[in-house]
Amino acid sequence: MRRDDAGALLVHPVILGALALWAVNDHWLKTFGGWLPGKLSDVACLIVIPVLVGGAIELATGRRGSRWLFGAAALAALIMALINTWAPAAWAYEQGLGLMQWPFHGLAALVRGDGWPGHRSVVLTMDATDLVTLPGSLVPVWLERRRSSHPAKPICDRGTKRAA
Amino acid sequence: MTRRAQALRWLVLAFGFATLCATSATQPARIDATPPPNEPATDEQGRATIRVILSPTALETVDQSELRLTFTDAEEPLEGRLWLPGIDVHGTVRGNQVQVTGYHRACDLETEEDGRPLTCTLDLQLALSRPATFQVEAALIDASNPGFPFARNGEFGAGANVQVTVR
Repeated sequence: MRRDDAGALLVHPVILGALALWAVNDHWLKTFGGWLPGKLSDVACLIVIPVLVGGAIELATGRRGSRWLFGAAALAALIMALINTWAPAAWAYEQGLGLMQWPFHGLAALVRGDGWPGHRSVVLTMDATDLVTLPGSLVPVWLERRRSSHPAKPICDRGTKRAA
Repeated sequence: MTRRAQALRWLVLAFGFATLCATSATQPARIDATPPPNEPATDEQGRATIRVILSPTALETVDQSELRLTFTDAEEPLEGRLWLPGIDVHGTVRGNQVQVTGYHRACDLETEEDGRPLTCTLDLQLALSRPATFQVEAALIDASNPGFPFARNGEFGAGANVQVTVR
């Protein structure tokens, strides 16, 4: 358990790239339409979300732990599969994400001088072809396994070696 | 870990969760509809009727969306106006685009036996300053997030839901 390594995956180039892709894609590339941007966002979120969950827990506790990341990767893949193939799951997702976004929409409305808006769900188009993005959830698992097998050396260890 | 490195990780974490919360889960709705006919055109006075048919999924968003029409492939930039007869809904065509709110009040609803709406048909009247040929795309836009449409025509796949024809 090393404090130095807690949340290290958050700044891994693959994760930073996927996060940038997700943000740019959602708010810009998707406006051009077509099937590719939707798939790219799905892959990016499957890569990033497990690392966010694992990273948040590691940073909060100051301890490294792979279990949360692996669990989050499996859960993200399961959710992605269900919301694209099972209507009740899609409905729950629409309501849930709508609730998550509600405070942000509310704050934006207050800034604009409008009143607090009512809750509204998001709209999701179920698309079974999105299942092709599921292997994306293996990327954070692979990165975490790689990190576990090549752990960063604590600074005090390096110092000891040099002294020897 | 230095304070700077730790701060960077927290920053990435915050940005990641913000991206998750702001994600546009509203994937552009794709349609199983006939694409617009090739080379739709106005009459000699620059007038045309643009029929927009919204499917049930698109109808779920009408209270929170604006209808945007984008004209492409015209020889010159189009200018004119667009309105819905019978109600106070009108817009100005400028920069090959026009956007109107309150359009759903003109919905000619087809309903199932239980009263559930199936589709909404809108006959929008277009009057351009000169005759033109063009392609037209319709989209339902979230006013608070205009970069990302709830639904639009011209794409194919599962789901919803805007069909456009020009007469």
